[in-house]
Amino acid sequence: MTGLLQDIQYALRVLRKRPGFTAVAVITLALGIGANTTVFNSVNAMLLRPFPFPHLDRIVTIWETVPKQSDQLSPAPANFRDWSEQSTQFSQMAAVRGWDANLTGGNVAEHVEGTQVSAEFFPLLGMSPEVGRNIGVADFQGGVAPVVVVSHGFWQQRLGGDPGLVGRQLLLNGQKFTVIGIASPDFDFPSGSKVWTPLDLKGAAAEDRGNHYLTVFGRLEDGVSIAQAQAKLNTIAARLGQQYPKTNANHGVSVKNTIEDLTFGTQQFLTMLMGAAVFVLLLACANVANLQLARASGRQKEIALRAALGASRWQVGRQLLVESVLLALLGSVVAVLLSAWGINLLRRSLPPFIVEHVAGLKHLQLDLRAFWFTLLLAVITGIIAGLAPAWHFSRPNVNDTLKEGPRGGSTSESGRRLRTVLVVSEIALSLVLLVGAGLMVKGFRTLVTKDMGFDREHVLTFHVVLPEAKYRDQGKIRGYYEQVLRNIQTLPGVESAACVTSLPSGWNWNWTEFTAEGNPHTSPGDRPSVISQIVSPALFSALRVPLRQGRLLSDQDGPNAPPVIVISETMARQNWPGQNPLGKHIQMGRSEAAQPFRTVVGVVGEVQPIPMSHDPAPTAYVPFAQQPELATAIVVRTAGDPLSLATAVGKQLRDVDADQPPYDMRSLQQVVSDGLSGIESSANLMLIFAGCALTLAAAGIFAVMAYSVSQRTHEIGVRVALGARRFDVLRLVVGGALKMAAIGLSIGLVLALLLTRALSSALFGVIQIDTVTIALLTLALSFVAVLAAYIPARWAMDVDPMVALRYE
Amino acid sequence: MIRLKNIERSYKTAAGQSWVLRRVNLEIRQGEFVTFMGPSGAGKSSLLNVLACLDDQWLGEYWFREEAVHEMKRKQRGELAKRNIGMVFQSYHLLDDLTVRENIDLPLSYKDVPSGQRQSLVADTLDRFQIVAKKDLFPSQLSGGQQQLVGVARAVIHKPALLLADEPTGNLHSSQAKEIMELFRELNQQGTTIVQVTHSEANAAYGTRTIQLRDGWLVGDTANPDLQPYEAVKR
Repeated sequence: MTGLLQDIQYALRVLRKRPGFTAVAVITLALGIGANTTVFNSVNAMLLRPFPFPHLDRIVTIWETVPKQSDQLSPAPANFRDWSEQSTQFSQMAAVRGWDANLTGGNVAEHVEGTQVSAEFFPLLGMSPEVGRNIGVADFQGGVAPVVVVSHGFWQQRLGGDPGLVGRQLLLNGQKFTVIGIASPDFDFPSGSKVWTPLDLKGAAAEDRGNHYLTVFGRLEDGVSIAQAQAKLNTIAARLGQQYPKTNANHGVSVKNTIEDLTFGTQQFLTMLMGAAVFVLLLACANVANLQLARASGRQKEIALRAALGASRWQVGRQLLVESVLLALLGSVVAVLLSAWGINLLRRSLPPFIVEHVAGLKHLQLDLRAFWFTLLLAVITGIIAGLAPAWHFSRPNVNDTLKEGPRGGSTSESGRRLRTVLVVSEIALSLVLLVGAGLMVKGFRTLVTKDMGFDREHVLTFHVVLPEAKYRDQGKIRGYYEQVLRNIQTLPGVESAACVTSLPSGWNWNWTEFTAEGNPHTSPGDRPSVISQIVSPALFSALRVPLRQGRLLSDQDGPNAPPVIVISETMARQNWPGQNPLGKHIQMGRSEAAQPFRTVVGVVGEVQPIPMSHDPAPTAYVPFAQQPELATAIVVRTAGDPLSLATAVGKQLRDVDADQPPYDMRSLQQVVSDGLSGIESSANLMLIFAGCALTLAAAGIFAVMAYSVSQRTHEIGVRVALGARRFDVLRLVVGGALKMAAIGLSIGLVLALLLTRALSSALFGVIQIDTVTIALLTLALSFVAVLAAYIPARWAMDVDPMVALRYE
Repeated sequence: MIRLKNIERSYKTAAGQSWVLRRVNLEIRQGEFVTFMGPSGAGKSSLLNVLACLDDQWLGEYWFREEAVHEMKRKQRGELAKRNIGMVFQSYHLLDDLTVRENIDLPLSYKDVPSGQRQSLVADTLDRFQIVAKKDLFPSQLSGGQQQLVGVARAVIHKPALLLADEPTGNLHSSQAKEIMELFRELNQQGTTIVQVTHSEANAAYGTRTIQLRDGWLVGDTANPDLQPYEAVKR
């Protein structure tokens, strides 16, 4: 221990005496450690601890599965009830359902995103409210007034932080809800929820096995694994399949860890970013190792003397490692500051909608766990960076080194080889990072500009949700939306306005089973499904979706007209290959739901749901007038900037019904780019990492060549004295750098191609192998290598042979 | 104390083998003050490095206090040297970033000596060599003689049985050299066996025995008048 303390003391003294070296090493390591701290913090917030619940790993999400259709179908209420009653693997099981409500009673009506929850929801999560109480069993008794728990943020920002709110009533969807509790500041599960109300599954709802709209969570009993819970639920599902063949035949169950389930889309990107950050760290370590090798060369006599005085190899090596770890610890202080700044920047660069709804993003900040991670990483980094120099110099040739004779560090062959290996590795790693970043940026740009089958320019979008209590019959719903659309179309600058169930690039798609004429399904589990869009006739002109065959929907397709449908090209091809689909019939939904058979009157071009999808999704367009919905999105094509009409459009809606506000108003361009914001952020981060890698690689090459020139001054002097020209000297030095670069680039190219192949399959459509981009990046790195060697080469060219030949 | 039998040391060169020590047979008794002399390249420093266990590429037998050094592995030799041998260098070889006190303490730090004991030993040594006032100075702040004094103090702090000195006064002027040699004599009188390499006859006079080397051969020994002359040995 005393020896270690002495080593630390000595190391601090040595580093203080060489501020230039110390500063360069600290900044280099800070870049590497900072990159990893930033990514780790994101991983921690979004993958490891996205929610503040105790024992997060014991919470699972339970889905229904249907072979050939979906491995993630929302459970139906009756199935949830049976699972809950018949399985013993869970201490609690709860169901939730998204609930859109309009808060009225104040000056302006406001949309509130909420969740309806079953009685076990809050006990399952183990979260206590900050004020009041949570929803409990008593709130589900008959005749009890409806209650609501509000989120902390909603209470602060929208309800004035009223300390006396508990016990008061809020008017939600025209109904009075008594506030019973205010959630803790860190609770907003499912992400984005502002209010929680009881989920009514009584009566007909309790026996419903045909409508799938719940999300079910369970907390595993102690000692029960996911596999065990899965096996038990499989048995229950099989039994239900026999008992209720029309609705449950072939329906299975899927039990997944909730975090993994919710963060699936994020995992791949964060894993890729973590890999990139590790590359940057390795580059930093290689650079610092090179610096330390050069410095230790000048300390060979000191090291030999220590050995002569009795220092063991371990003691000598420890001295060098301690210096290296100290540098890394100093670097970690700078890294934490860099990371804090970077995380702040990242959060501010993301759209508010994304921050609200992606698990963990809202609470992204440097915390204690990130601090410990940084500390541990600093120690490991110091050891990695110091290992090569410590190993190389800890066994000095004492006899030769301490001989009286000319001073000056001599470079051993093994030392030179080691430095070359480090630089070659840096170049290889840099190329891999550069290629990864370049392809990712290119992939992102391709996605952003990709033709998705519609025109996203000059389109305003928003959503409306009507309360069922006020809009009970279809006539009222239809009347409301028709009036709204008429009002909007009177505004100057509006070209057309329409309703549509789901916006392109939105997050929710309505997949519905259907039966196509001439294609009967053999069993309940065999039914195909399609994206169902309930639309008003102007949708196709508003989004400029082209007509391919037949006709578009029109105002004549009213509630009393024959039921019709327009389908996408894919749907036509899949169901009636080589045939004319016009005049065919489709029944949307399950046959037992007794929906009418609709006649296909038109075929339109493909509209891709998300930019990343390779294959177009089959889509069916049903007239809004024939099947009006309470909740819908509205698209408004404008002549100019769509957002300039936001206020006017909002007024038009208030004129129809002041209690039904529009929400989530964005341009369609914004909707698409918000959906890609995660990829954009990842691409930007990759670019930053690649930039760091390029800088570090260039610095590494420069340092090695500069040191090499300083060691070869005598040799260069002799060459010049023997007739070498300036160009010959330049070629000597730059040629050496190019040799290293060539080896590094060859290795890096192979690694880059392998990694790109792996990433292109993991990142679903974002990264594609592009040989032109890879070739350009390789050339760019070669150019950087030549540039980095040029300055030392100029020094070499300036060597005076008379001075060099006297040099000892 | 020391017995060398047929010690040989050579280096590989492009022209073949270059011999620096040839069939050296030597015995050094406890308490002797031995001087190695000879022209440049005679093998004096090489022989000293063999005795110090700094060089392990030699052949032959080396007995130190009846321990067979030639049969030991490198680590064992290092341990033996750490325990029993102190070395003084011509260029002092002090560490520039350590103070006088820390330089003297350095060998003890590698010997697992408890901290309290180390402090006490360092304090005694500083006092003994009368350099207490300079304990917090760095080598660059001392004269050549003072630096060599520190070098000697460092070499003897752990009370080695054998003190080796390679041209200890080579970089000092005469009055400083005399001080150092007087110190060596004093240490020898206190029981330390000393072996020095020197070109100086004046320095050799402080010793009790002089050994001559030439071309790697042991050609003269004041303790062994029967030693064959150089020409005969070479034949």
